[in-house]
Amino acid sequence: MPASRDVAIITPWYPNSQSPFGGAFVQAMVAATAPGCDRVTVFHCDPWKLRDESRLPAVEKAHKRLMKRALRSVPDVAGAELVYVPVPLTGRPSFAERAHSYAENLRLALGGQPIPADVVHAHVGLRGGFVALDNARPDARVHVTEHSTFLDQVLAQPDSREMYGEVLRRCTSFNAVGDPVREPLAEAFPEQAAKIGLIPNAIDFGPKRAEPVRELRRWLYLGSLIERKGVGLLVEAFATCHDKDPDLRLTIVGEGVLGAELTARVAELGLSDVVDFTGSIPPAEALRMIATHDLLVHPSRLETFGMTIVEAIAAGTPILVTRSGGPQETLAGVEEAAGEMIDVTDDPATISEGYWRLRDRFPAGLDLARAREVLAGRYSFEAVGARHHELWFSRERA
Amino acid sequence: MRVLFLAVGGNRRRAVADEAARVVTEGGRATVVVAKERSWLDTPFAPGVEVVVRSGMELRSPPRSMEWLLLFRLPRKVYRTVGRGPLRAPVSLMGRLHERAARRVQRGVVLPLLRRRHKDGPGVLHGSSYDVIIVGDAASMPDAVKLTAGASADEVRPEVAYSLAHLTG
Repeated sequence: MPASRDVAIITPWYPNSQSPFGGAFVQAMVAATAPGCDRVTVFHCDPWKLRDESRLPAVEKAHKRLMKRALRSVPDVAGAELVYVPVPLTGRPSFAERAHSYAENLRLALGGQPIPADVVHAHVGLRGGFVALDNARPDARVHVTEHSTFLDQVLAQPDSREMYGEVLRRCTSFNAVGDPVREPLAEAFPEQAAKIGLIPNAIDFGPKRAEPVRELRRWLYLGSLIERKGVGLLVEAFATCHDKDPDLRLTIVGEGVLGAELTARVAELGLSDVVDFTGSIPPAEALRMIATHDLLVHPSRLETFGMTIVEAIAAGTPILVTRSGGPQETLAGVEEAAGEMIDVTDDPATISEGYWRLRDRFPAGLDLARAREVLAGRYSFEAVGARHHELWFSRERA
Repeated sequence: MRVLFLAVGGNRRRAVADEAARVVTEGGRATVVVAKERSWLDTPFAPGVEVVVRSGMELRSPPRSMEWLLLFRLPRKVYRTVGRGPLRAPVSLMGRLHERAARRVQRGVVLPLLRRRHKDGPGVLHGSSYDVIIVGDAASMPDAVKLTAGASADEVRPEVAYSLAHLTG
Protein backbone atom coordinates (compact mmCIF):
# COMPACT_ATOMS: atom_id res chain seq x y z
CA MET A 1 0.00 0.00 0.00
CA PRO A 2 1.38 3.49 -0.78
CA ALA A 3 2.87 5.32 2.21
CA SER A 4 0.34 8.13 1.95
CA ARG A 5 -2.86 8.97 0.16
CA ASP A 6 -1.42 11.95 -1.70
CA VAL A 7 -2.85 12.13 -5.20
CA ALA A 8 -2.13 14.44 -8.10
CA ILE A 9 -4.63 14.79 -10.95
CA ILE A 10 -3.32 15.96 -14.33
CA THR A 11 -5.87 17.28 -16.80
CA PRO A 12 -6.06 19.44 -19.92
CA TRP A 13 -9.72 20.23 -19.13
CA TYR A 14 -11.17 21.83 -16.02
CA PRO A 15 -13.92 24.43 -15.54
CA ASN A 16 -12.53 27.99 -15.69
CA SER A 17 -13.61 31.51 -16.66
CA GLN A 18 -12.88 30.95 -20.35
CA SER A 19 -14.64 27.59 -20.47
CA PRO A 20 -17.02 27.32 -17.50
CA PHE A 21 -18.38 23.91 -18.57
CA GLY A 22 -15.10 22.46 -19.85
CA GLY A 23 -13.88 19.41 -17.94
CA ALA A 24 -16.87 19.31 -15.60
CA PHE A 25 -16.48 15.51 -15.60
CA VAL A 26 -12.92 15.84 -14.27
CA GLN A 27 -14.11 18.15 -11.51
CA ALA A 28 -16.85 15.62 -10.68
CA MET A 29 -14.21 12.87 -10.49
CA VAL A 30 -12.18 15.06 -8.11
CA ALA A 31 -15.26 15.69 -5.95
CA ALA A 32 -15.93 11.94 -5.89
CA THR A 33 -12.39 10.86 -5.04
CA ALA A 34 -10.94 13.59 -2.80
CA PRO A 35 -12.83 12.46 0.33
CA GLY A 36 -10.72 9.66 1.76
CA CYS A 37 -7.43 11.00 0.42
CA ASP A 38 -4.83 12.86 2.49
CA ARG A 39 -4.31 15.41 -0.22
CA VAL A 40 -5.48 15.90 -3.81
CA THR A 41 -3.85 18.46 -6.10
CA VAL A 42 -5.28 19.10 -9.55
CA PHE A 43 -2.83 20.40 -12.17
CA HIS A 44 -4.84 21.95 -14.97
CA CYS A 45 -2.58 22.56 -17.98
CA ASP A 46 -4.51 24.90 -20.25
CA PRO A 47 -3.41 25.83 -23.80
CA TRP A 48 -3.01 29.56 -24.38
CA LYS A 49 -2.80 30.16 -28.11
CA LEU A 50 -0.32 32.67 -29.44
CA ARG A 51 -1.12 33.81 -32.98
CA ASP A 52 2.26 35.37 -33.78
CA GLU A 53 4.77 32.52 -33.74
CA SER A 54 7.74 34.93 -33.86
CA ARG A 55 6.83 36.15 -30.38
CA LEU A 56 7.01 32.71 -28.77
CA PRO A 57 10.61 33.03 -27.42
CA ALA A 58 9.75 36.37 -25.72
CA VAL A 59 6.49 34.95 -24.38
CA GLU A 60 8.17 31.82 -23.02
CA LYS A 61 10.85 33.92 -21.32
CA ALA A 62 8.19 36.15 -19.77
CA HIS A 63 6.11 33.10 -18.81
CA LYS A 64 9.00 31.67 -16.77
CA ARG A 65 9.39 34.93 -14.86
CA LEU A 66 5.66 35.42 -14.34
CA MET A 67 5.12 31.93 -12.97
CA LYS A 68 7.08 32.90 -9.84
CA ARG A 69 4.41 35.48 -9.02
CA ALA A 70 1.27 34.25 -10.75
CA LEU A 71 1.29 30.51 -10.15
CA ARG A 72 -0.56 29.48 -7.03
CA SER A 73 -2.48 26.65 -5.48
CA VAL A 74 -6.10 27.54 -4.72
CA PRO A 75 -8.84 25.62 -2.89
CA ASP A 76 -11.12 23.57 -5.11
CA VAL A 77 -13.97 21.08 -4.65
CA ALA A 78 -14.03 18.60 -1.76
CA GLY A 79 -10.88 19.97 -0.14
CA ALA A 80 -8.73 19.47 -3.24
CA GLU A 81 -6.22 22.11 -4.39
CA LEU A 82 -6.06 23.47 -7.93
CA VAL A 83 -2.90 24.65 -9.72
CA TYR A 84 -3.61 26.34 -13.03
CA VAL A 85 -0.74 26.15 -15.54
CA PRO A 86 -1.05 28.12 -18.80
CA VAL A 87 0.69 26.49 -21.77
CA PRO A 88 1.64 28.96 -24.54
CA LEU A 89 1.18 27.27 -27.93
CA THR A 90 1.54 28.43 -31.52
CA GLY A 91 0.47 27.01 -34.85
CA ARG A 92 -1.18 23.61 -35.14
CA PRO A 93 1.03 21.18 -33.24
CA SER A 94 0.30 17.45 -33.25
CA PHE A 95 -1.20 15.92 -30.11
CA ALA A 96 2.26 14.55 -29.23
CA GLU A 97 3.89 17.96 -29.66
CA ARG A 98 1.21 19.48 -27.48
CA ALA A 99 1.83 16.83 -24.84
CA HIS A 100 5.54 17.71 -24.83
CA SER A 101 4.68 21.41 -24.33
CA TYR A 102 2.26 20.57 -21.51
CA ALA A 103 4.91 18.40 -19.84
CA GLU A 104 7.55 21.14 -20.10
CA ASN A 105 5.23 23.75 -18.66
CA LEU A 106 4.19 21.52 -15.79
CA ARG A 107 7.87 20.90 -15.05
CA LEU A 108 8.39 24.68 -14.98
CA ALA A 109 5.46 25.04 -12.62
CA LEU A 110 6.94 22.38 -10.35
CA GLY A 111 10.30 24.16 -10.31
CA GLY A 112 11.97 21.23 -12.05
CA GLN A 113 10.99 18.82 -9.30
CA PRO A 114 8.86 15.72 -9.88
CA ILE A 115 5.22 15.68 -8.82
CA PRO A 116 5.46 14.88 -5.10
CA ALA A 117 2.39 12.61 -4.95
CA ASP A 118 2.56 8.81 -4.66
CA VAL A 119 -0.37 8.44 -7.01
CA VAL A 120 -0.81 10.44 -10.21
CA HIS A 121 -4.06 10.15 -12.14
CA ALA A 122 -4.18 11.63 -15.63
CA HIS A 123 -7.13 12.42 -17.83
CA VAL A 124 -6.67 11.60 -21.54
CA GLY A 125 -3.73 9.68 -22.88
CA LEU A 126 -1.27 12.25 -24.19
CA ARG A 127 -1.99 15.70 -22.72
CA GLY A 128 -2.62 14.00 -19.38
CA GLY A 129 -0.97 10.57 -19.39
CA PHE A 130 2.29 11.50 -21.07
CA VAL A 131 2.51 14.70 -19.03
CA ALA A 132 2.05 12.67 -15.84
CA LEU A 133 4.63 10.03 -16.78
CA ASP A 134 7.12 12.73 -17.74
CA ASN A 135 6.76 14.50 -14.40
CA ALA A 136 5.97 11.76 -11.88
CA ARG A 137 8.50 10.39 -9.41
CA PRO A 138 10.08 7.14 -10.65
CA ASP A 139 8.31 5.24 -7.86
CA ALA A 140 4.93 6.93 -8.34
CA ARG A 141 1.99 5.00 -9.76
CA VAL A 142 0.47 6.65 -12.81
CA HIS A 143 -3.12 5.88 -13.78
CA VAL A 144 -4.81 7.16 -16.91
CA THR A 145 -8.47 7.62 -17.89
CA GLU A 146 -9.27 8.22 -21.54
CA HIS A 147 -12.45 10.13 -22.49
CA SER A 148 -11.71 11.50 -25.95
CA THR A 149 -14.21 11.37 -28.77
CA PHE A 150 -11.42 12.27 -31.22
CA LEU A 151 -9.09 9.31 -30.69
CA ASP A 152 -9.17 8.62 -34.44
CA GLN A 153 -7.46 11.97 -35.02
CA VAL A 154 -4.87 11.26 -32.33
CA LEU A 155 -4.05 7.81 -33.66
CA ALA A 156 -3.85 9.09 -37.25
CA GLN A 157 -0.75 11.14 -36.34
CA PRO A 158 2.36 8.88 -36.37
CA ASP A 159 4.16 10.71 -33.53
CA SER A 160 1.00 10.77 -31.40
CA ARG A 161 0.30 7.10 -32.04
CA GLU A 162 3.84 6.18 -30.99
CA MET A 163 3.54 8.31 -27.85
CA TYR A 164 0.19 6.68 -27.07
CA GLY A 165 1.76 3.24 -27.21
CA GLU A 166 4.46 4.43 -24.81
CA VAL A 167 1.85 5.76 -22.37
CA LEU A 168 -0.03 2.45 -22.47
CA ARG A 169 3.16 0.49 -21.76
CA ARG A 170 4.45 2.70 -18.97
CA CYS A 171 1.34 3.57 -16.97
CA THR A 172 0.26 1.53 -13.95
CA SER A 173 -3.32 1.23 -15.14
CA PHE A 174 -5.29 2.50 -18.09
CA ASN A 175 -9.07 2.86 -18.24
CA ALA A 176 -11.54 4.15 -20.77
CA VAL A 177 -14.92 5.66 -19.87
CA GLY A 178 -16.73 3.33 -22.23
CA ASP A 179 -16.38 0.80 -25.03
CA PRO A 180 -16.49 3.46 -27.78
CA VAL A 181 -13.15 4.59 -26.35
CA ARG A 182 -11.73 1.20 -25.40
CA GLU A 183 -12.38 -0.57 -28.70
CA PRO A 184 -10.34 1.67 -31.05
CA LEU A 185 -7.47 1.62 -28.56
CA ALA A 186 -7.55 -2.16 -28.21
CA GLU A 187 -7.57 -2.42 -31.99
CA ALA A 188 -4.66 0.00 -32.41
CA PHE A 189 -2.59 -1.58 -29.60
CA PRO A 190 -3.60 -5.26 -29.47
CA GLU A 191 -0.59 -6.15 -27.29
CA GLN A 192 -1.94 -3.76 -24.63
CA ALA A 193 -5.64 -4.60 -25.04
CA ALA A 194 -5.83 -6.57 -21.80
CA LYS A 195 -4.52 -3.58 -19.87
CA ILE A 196 -7.34 -1.29 -21.02
CA GLY A 197 -10.14 -1.43 -18.47
CA LEU A 198 -13.30 0.56 -17.96
CA ILE A 199 -14.05 3.18 -15.34
CA PRO A 200 -17.09 5.44 -15.53
CA ASN A 201 -17.43 9.16 -14.98
CA ALA A 202 -18.73 10.23 -11.57
CA ILE A 203 -22.14 11.85 -11.33
CA ASP A 204 -23.58 13.88 -8.48
CA PHE A 205 -26.67 12.01 -7.26
CA GLY A 206 -27.44 14.77 -4.77
CA PRO A 207 -30.91 16.18 -4.23
CA LYS A 208 -33.56 15.43 -6.85
CA ARG A 209 -35.74 18.11 -8.46
CA ALA A 210 -38.23 19.72 -6.09
CA GLU A 211 -41.30 18.84 -8.19
CA PRO A 212 -41.65 15.73 -10.37
CA VAL A 213 -42.06 16.26 -14.10
CA ARG A 214 -45.77 16.43 -14.98
CA GLU A 215 -45.64 17.04 -18.73
CA LEU A 216 -42.85 16.92 -21.31
CA ARG A 217 -43.02 20.48 -22.61
CA ARG A 218 -39.82 22.24 -21.55
CA TRP A 219 -36.99 20.67 -23.56
CA LEU A 220 -33.35 21.15 -22.63
CA TYR A 221 -30.25 20.66 -24.76
CA LEU A 222 -26.93 20.76 -22.92
CA GLY A 223 -23.69 20.52 -24.87
CA SER A 224 -21.41 22.06 -27.46
CA LEU A 225 -23.01 23.62 -30.52
CA ILE A 226 -21.12 21.45 -32.98
CA GLU A 227 -22.10 19.07 -35.77
CA ARG A 228 -21.25 15.91 -33.83
CA LYS A 229 -23.77 16.73 -31.13
CA GLY A 230 -26.70 16.71 -33.56
CA VAL A 231 -28.01 20.03 -32.28
CA GLY A 232 -28.98 21.19 -35.79
CA LEU A 233 -31.27 18.17 -36.19
CA LEU A 234 -32.72 18.92 -32.77
CA VAL A 235 -33.77 22.41 -33.85
CA GLU A 236 -35.49 21.01 -36.95
CA ALA A 237 -37.21 18.29 -34.89
CA PHE A 238 -38.33 20.80 -32.29
CA ALA A 239 -39.86 22.97 -35.02
CA THR A 240 -42.08 20.12 -36.26
CA CYS A 241 -43.10 19.18 -32.71
CA HIS A 242 -43.84 22.81 -31.90
CA ASP A 243 -46.20 22.93 -34.88
CA LYS A 244 -48.28 20.26 -33.15
CA ASP A 245 -47.94 21.63 -29.63
CA PRO A 246 -47.31 25.40 -29.46
CA ASP A 247 -46.69 25.17 -25.70
CA LEU A 248 -43.34 23.47 -26.25
CA ARG A 249 -40.20 25.39 -25.24
CA LEU A 250 -36.54 24.63 -25.91
CA THR A 251 -33.47 25.86 -24.01
CA ILE A 252 -30.11 25.39 -25.72
CA VAL A 253 -27.16 25.57 -23.36
CA GLY A 254 -23.65 25.67 -24.76
CA GLU A 255 -21.41 27.36 -27.29
CA GLY A 256 -19.72 26.34 -30.49
CA VAL A 257 -19.11 27.01 -34.14
CA LEU A 258 -22.78 26.43 -35.02
CA GLY A 259 -24.00 29.11 -32.59
CA ALA A 260 -24.69 31.88 -35.12
CA GLU A 261 -26.09 29.46 -37.71
CA LEU A 262 -28.51 27.92 -35.20
CA THR A 263 -29.66 31.30 -33.93
CA ALA A 264 -30.36 32.36 -37.51
CA ARG A 265 -32.21 29.13 -38.26
CA VAL A 266 -34.37 29.50 -35.16
CA ALA A 267 -35.25 33.04 -36.25
CA GLU A 268 -36.01 31.82 -39.77
CA LEU A 269 -38.36 29.19 -38.33
CA GLY A 270 -40.11 31.93 -36.32
CA LEU A 271 -39.20 30.24 -33.03
CA SER A 272 -37.07 32.94 -31.41
CA ASP A 273 -39.70 33.46 -28.71
CA VAL A 274 -39.73 29.81 -27.67
CA VAL A 275 -36.09 28.80 -28.15
CA ASP A 276 -33.65 30.26 -25.66
CA PHE A 277 -29.87 30.23 -26.19
CA THR A 278 -28.04 30.68 -22.89
CA GLY A 279 -24.41 30.22 -23.97
CA SER A 280 -22.08 28.26 -21.69
CA ILE A 281 -22.86 28.09 -18.01
CA PRO A 282 -21.01 26.74 -14.97
CA PRO A 283 -21.65 23.08 -14.04
CA ALA A 284 -23.73 23.95 -10.97
CA GLU A 285 -26.01 26.15 -13.06
CA ALA A 286 -26.35 23.35 -15.63
CA LEU A 287 -27.59 21.00 -12.91
CA ARG A 288 -30.13 23.62 -11.84
CA MET A 289 -31.33 23.91 -15.45
CA ILE A 290 -31.74 20.14 -15.70
CA ALA A 291 -33.91 20.20 -12.58
CA THR A 292 -36.13 22.98 -13.95
CA HIS A 293 -36.85 21.46 -17.37
CA ASP A 294 -39.11 18.54 -18.29
CA LEU A 295 -36.93 16.64 -20.74
CA LEU A 296 -33.26 16.41 -21.63
CA VAL A 297 -32.77 15.84 -25.35
CA HIS A 298 -29.34 14.45 -26.23
CA PRO A 299 -29.15 13.88 -29.99
CA SER A 300 -25.37 13.31 -30.23
CA ARG A 301 -23.91 11.36 -33.16
CA LEU A 302 -21.04 9.96 -31.09
CA GLU A 303 -20.72 9.95 -27.33
CA THR A 304 -18.19 8.11 -25.20
CA PHE A 305 -20.23 8.17 -21.99
CA GLY A 306 -23.07 10.72 -21.90
CA MET A 307 -22.65 12.49 -18.59
CA THR A 308 -25.58 14.85 -18.95
CA ILE A 309 -28.04 12.00 -19.46
CA VAL A 310 -27.03 10.45 -16.15
CA GLU A 311 -27.18 13.89 -14.51
CA ALA A 312 -30.71 14.24 -15.83
CA ILE A 313 -31.79 10.88 -14.41
CA ALA A 314 -30.07 11.76 -11.12
CA ALA A 315 -32.22 14.88 -10.99
CA GLY A 316 -35.41 12.95 -11.87
CA THR A 317 -35.67 14.36 -15.41
CA PRO A 318 -36.56 12.03 -18.33
CA ILE A 319 -34.31 11.78 -21.37
CA LEU A 320 -34.58 11.43 -25.12
CA VAL A 321 -31.19 10.17 -26.24
CA THR A 322 -29.52 8.70 -29.32
CA ARG A 323 -27.82 5.30 -29.41
CA SER A 324 -24.54 7.09 -30.02
CA GLY A 325 -22.11 4.64 -28.42
CA GLY A 326 -21.68 5.45 -24.76
CA PRO A 327 -25.33 6.03 -23.81
CA GLN A 328 -26.38 2.41 -24.62
CA GLU A 329 -23.78 1.14 -22.13
CA THR A 330 -24.40 3.89 -19.63
CA LEU A 331 -28.16 3.22 -19.55
CA ALA A 332 -28.00 -0.56 -19.98
CA GLY A 333 -31.05 -2.13 -18.32
CA VAL A 334 -32.91 1.12 -17.62
CA GLU A 335 -33.39 2.54 -21.13
CA GLU A 336 -37.19 2.30 -21.03
CA ALA A 337 -37.44 3.37 -17.41
CA ALA A 338 -35.39 6.53 -18.01
CA GLY A 339 -36.94 7.72 -21.25
CA GLU A 340 -36.59 6.93 -24.93
CA MET A 341 -33.62 5.90 -27.02
CA ILE A 342 -33.50 6.72 -30.72
CA ASP A 343 -31.17 5.78 -33.57
CA VAL A 344 -28.49 8.07 -34.95
CA THR A 345 -29.78 9.20 -38.35
CA ASP A 346 -29.64 12.33 -40.52
CA ASP A 347 -33.41 12.70 -40.31
CA PRO A 348 -34.87 15.09 -37.71
CA ALA A 349 -38.03 12.96 -37.77
CA THR A 350 -36.14 10.32 -35.76
CA ILE A 351 -36.02 12.81 -32.88
CA SER A 352 -39.56 14.12 -33.27
CA GLU A 353 -41.05 10.62 -33.58
CA GLY A 354 -39.05 9.53 -30.53
CA TYR A 355 -40.47 12.47 -28.63
CA TRP A 356 -44.07 11.58 -29.45
CA ARG A 357 -43.48 7.92 -28.51
CA LEU A 358 -42.04 9.04 -25.19
CA ARG A 359 -44.90 11.45 -24.62
CA ASP A 360 -47.45 8.72 -25.36
CA ARG A 361 -46.11 6.50 -22.61
CA PHE A 362 -45.32 9.26 -20.09
CA PRO A 363 -45.57 9.03 -17.12
CA ALA A 364 -46.86 5.50 -16.56
CA GLY A 365 -44.38 3.86 -18.95
CA LEU A 366 -41.35 5.27 -17.17
CA ASP A 367 -39.82 4.39 -13.82
CA LEU A 368 -37.45 7.24 -13.07
CA ALA A 369 -36.97 6.21 -9.43
CA ARG A 370 -35.71 2.75 -10.46
CA ALA A 371 -33.49 4.19 -13.19
CA ARG A 372 -32.02 6.59 -10.64
CA GLU A 373 -31.34 3.86 -8.13
CA VAL A 374 -29.66 1.56 -10.66
CA LEU A 375 -27.48 4.32 -12.09
CA ALA A 376 -26.52 5.60 -8.63
CA GLY A 377 -25.10 2.14 -7.94
CA ARG A 378 -22.86 2.55 -10.98
CA TYR A 379 -22.00 6.23 -11.26
CA SER A 380 -22.60 8.02 -7.95
CA PHE A 381 -19.69 9.80 -6.27
CA GLU A 382 -19.57 7.02 -3.69
CA ALA A 383 -19.48 4.23 -6.31
CA VAL A 384 -16.93 5.87 -8.60
CA GLY A 385 -14.85 7.21 -5.68
CA ALA A 386 -14.57 3.68 -4.30
CA ARG A 387 -13.49 2.35 -7.72
CA HIS A 388 -10.70 4.91 -7.91
CA HIS A 389 -9.56 4.32 -4.33
CA GLU A 390 -9.40 0.60 -5.05
CA LEU A 391 -7.30 1.34 -8.12
CA TRP A 392 -5.00 3.78 -6.31
CA PHE A 393 -4.56 2.30 -2.87
CA SER A 394 -5.30 -1.42 -2.87
CA ARG A 395 -2.48 -3.69 -1.65
CA GLU A 396 -2.84 -6.05 -4.62
CA ARG A 397 -2.17 -3.30 -7.11
CA ALA A 398 0.67 -1.70 -5.15
CA MET B 1 -10.07 46.70 -5.81
CA ARG B 2 -8.22 48.09 -8.83
CA VAL B 3 -7.65 45.37 -11.40
CA LEU B 4 -5.68 45.64 -14.63
CA PHE B 5 -6.48 42.98 -17.24
CA LEU B 6 -3.84 42.48 -19.91
CA ALA B 7 -5.55 41.05 -22.98
CA VAL B 8 -3.60 42.10 -26.06
CA GLY B 9 -3.82 38.58 -27.54
CA GLY B 10 -7.61 38.90 -27.60
CA ASN B 11 -8.17 35.14 -27.70
CA ARG B 12 -9.41 34.57 -24.16
CA ARG B 13 -12.05 37.25 -24.43
CA ARG B 14 -14.78 35.52 -22.51
CA ALA B 15 -12.66 35.08 -19.40
CA VAL B 16 -11.43 38.68 -19.48
CA ALA B 17 -14.81 40.26 -20.20
CA ASP B 18 -16.61 38.18 -17.54
CA GLU B 19 -13.99 38.79 -14.87
CA ALA B 20 -13.78 42.53 -15.64
CA ALA B 21 -17.58 42.72 -15.31
CA ARG B 22 -17.34 40.93 -11.97
CA VAL B 23 -14.83 43.48 -10.67
CA VAL B 24 -17.13 46.37 -11.58
CA THR B 25 -20.20 44.61 -10.15
CA GLU B 26 -18.38 44.19 -6.86
CA GLY B 27 -17.55 47.89 -6.73
CA GLY B 28 -13.99 47.72 -8.04
CA ARG B 29 -12.24 49.38 -10.94
CA ALA B 30 -11.43 47.27 -14.00
CA THR B 31 -9.10 48.40 -16.77
CA VAL B 32 -8.59 46.15 -19.79
CA VAL B 33 -5.64 46.60 -22.16
CA VAL B 34 -6.45 45.37 -25.67
CA ALA B 35 -4.59 45.43 -28.99
CA LYS B 36 -7.58 46.43 -31.13
CA GLU B 37 -11.01 47.39 -29.89
CA ARG B 38 -12.67 45.95 -32.98
CA SER B 39 -11.47 42.44 -32.05
CA TRP B 40 -13.81 42.64 -29.08
CA LEU B 41 -16.98 43.63 -30.92
CA ASP B 42 -18.54 40.20 -30.33
CA THR B 43 -17.58 40.29 -26.64
CA PRO B 44 -18.89 43.59 -25.30
CA PHE B 45 -17.57 44.89 -22.00
CA ALA B 46 -19.91 45.60 -19.12
CA PRO B 47 -20.66 49.28 -18.41
CA GLY B 48 -17.97 50.73 -16.17
CA VAL B 49 -15.11 48.64 -17.55
CA GLU B 50 -12.37 50.94 -18.84
CA VAL B 51 -10.80 49.77 -22.10
CA VAL B 52 -7.43 51.11 -23.29
CA VAL B 53 -5.60 50.31 -26.51
CA ARG B 54 -2.10 48.99 -26.01
CA SER B 55 -0.45 50.87 -28.91
CA GLY B 56 -1.11 54.21 -27.27
CA MET B 57 0.29 53.20 -23.90
CA GLU B 58 3.70 53.29 -22.33
CA LEU B 59 4.10 50.58 -19.73
CA ARG B 60 6.58 52.23 -17.43
CA SER B 61 7.30 55.91 -17.13
CA PRO B 62 10.92 57.12 -17.39
CA PRO B 63 10.94 58.24 -13.72
CA ARG B 64 9.93 54.72 -12.63
CA SER B 65 12.70 53.16 -14.71
CA MET B 66 15.18 55.68 -13.28
CA GLU B 67 14.06 54.91 -9.74
CA TRP B 68 14.56 51.20 -10.32
CA LEU B 69 18.01 51.82 -11.83
CA LEU B 70 19.23 54.09 -9.03
CA LEU B 71 17.76 52.22 -6.09
CA PHE B 72 18.44 48.63 -7.14
CA ARG B 73 20.21 47.88 -10.39
CA LEU B 74 23.29 50.10 -10.07
CA PRO B 75 23.91 49.32 -6.39
CA ARG B 76 23.60 45.60 -7.06
CA LYS B 77 26.15 45.85 -9.84
CA VAL B 78 28.55 47.73 -7.55
CA TYR B 79 28.15 45.19 -4.74
CA ARG B 80 28.70 42.31 -7.16
CA THR B 81 31.88 43.92 -8.53
CA VAL B 82 33.37 44.89 -5.17
CA GLY B 83 32.23 41.90 -3.13
CA ARG B 84 34.93 39.41 -4.04
CA GLY B 85 37.51 37.57 -1.99
CA PRO B 86 37.85 38.77 1.61
CA LEU B 87 35.33 41.56 0.97
CA ARG B 88 32.59 39.11 0.02
CA ALA B 89 30.99 38.69 3.44
CA PRO B 90 30.98 42.33 4.57
CA VAL B 91 29.86 43.62 1.15
CA SER B 92 27.12 41.00 1.03
CA LEU B 93 25.88 42.19 4.43
CA MET B 94 26.05 45.77 3.24
CA GLY B 95 24.08 44.78 0.13
CA ARG B 96 21.32 43.22 2.18
CA LEU B 97 21.09 46.29 4.41
CA HIS B 98 21.01 48.49 1.34
CA GLU B 99 18.18 46.45 -0.26
CA ARG B 100 16.13 46.73 2.92
CA ALA B 101 16.64 50.50 3.06
CA ALA B 102 15.99 50.90 -0.67
CA ARG B 103 12.68 49.05 -0.39
CA ARG B 104 11.65 51.36 2.44
CA VAL B 105 12.55 54.38 0.34
CA GLN B 106 10.72 52.90 -2.66
CA ARG B 107 7.53 52.20 -0.76
CA GLY B 108 7.55 55.17 1.56
CA VAL B 109 8.83 57.96 -0.65
CA VAL B 110 9.25 57.21 -4.35
CA LEU B 111 6.04 55.35 -5.15
CA PRO B 112 3.71 57.78 -3.31
CA LEU B 113 5.45 60.68 -5.05
CA LEU B 114 5.16 59.08 -8.48
CA ARG B 115 1.54 58.16 -7.94
CA ARG B 116 0.70 61.69 -6.84
CA ARG B 117 2.53 63.22 -9.77
CA HIS B 118 1.28 60.97 -12.54
CA LYS B 119 -2.06 59.74 -11.26
CA ASP B 120 -2.06 57.28 -14.13
CA GLY B 121 -1.70 60.22 -16.46
CA PRO B 122 -2.65 59.71 -20.09
CA GLY B 123 -0.54 57.22 -21.96
CA VAL B 124 1.25 55.65 -19.03
CA LEU B 125 0.31 52.47 -17.18
CA HIS B 126 1.89 51.87 -13.79
CA GLY B 127 1.67 48.36 -12.44
CA SER B 128 1.87 49.77 -8.95
CA SER B 129 -1.36 51.73 -9.50
CA TYR B 130 -3.28 48.45 -9.38
CA ASP B 131 -3.95 45.95 -6.66
CA VAL B 132 -4.09 43.07 -9.12
CA ILE B 133 -2.79 42.41 -12.62
CA ILE B 134 -4.57 39.60 -14.46
CA VAL B 135 -2.52 38.12 -17.29
CA GLY B 136 -5.30 37.35 -19.73
CA ASP B 137 -3.49 35.58 -22.57
CA ALA B 138 -0.10 34.45 -23.82
CA ALA B 139 0.62 37.57 -25.89
CA SER B 140 0.23 39.71 -22.75
CA MET B 141 2.90 37.91 -20.75
CA PRO B 142 5.82 40.18 -21.80
CA ASP B 143 3.77 43.27 -20.88
CA ALA B 144 2.99 41.76 -17.48
CA VAL B 145 6.69 41.28 -16.83
CA LYS B 146 7.44 44.88 -17.82
CA LEU B 147 4.70 46.20 -15.55
CA THR B 148 5.90 44.25 -12.56
CA ALA B 149 9.65 44.38 -13.14
CA GLY B 150 9.97 47.59 -11.14
CA ALA B 151 8.45 45.97 -8.10
CA SER B 152 10.90 44.57 -5.62
CA ALA B 153 10.82 40.81 -5.26
CA ASP B 154 8.83 40.75 -2.04
CA GLU B 155 6.49 43.61 -2.87
CA VAL B 156 2.96 42.42 -2.26
CA ARG B 157 1.22 44.76 -4.69
CA PRO B 158 0.29 44.33 -7.38
CA GLU B 159 -0.73 40.71 -7.11
CA VAL B 160 -0.32 38.89 -10.40
CA ALA B 161 -2.62 36.04 -11.41
CA TYR B 162 -4.00 34.25 -14.45
CA SER B 163 -7.58 34.62 -13.23
CA LEU B 164 -9.53 36.45 -10.55
CA ALA B 165 -10.63 32.99 -9.39
CA HIS B 166 -7.06 32.29 -8.33
CA LEU B 167 -6.89 35.11 -5.81
CA THR B 168 -7.25 33.85 -2.31
CA GLY B 169 -7.41 37.17 -0.45
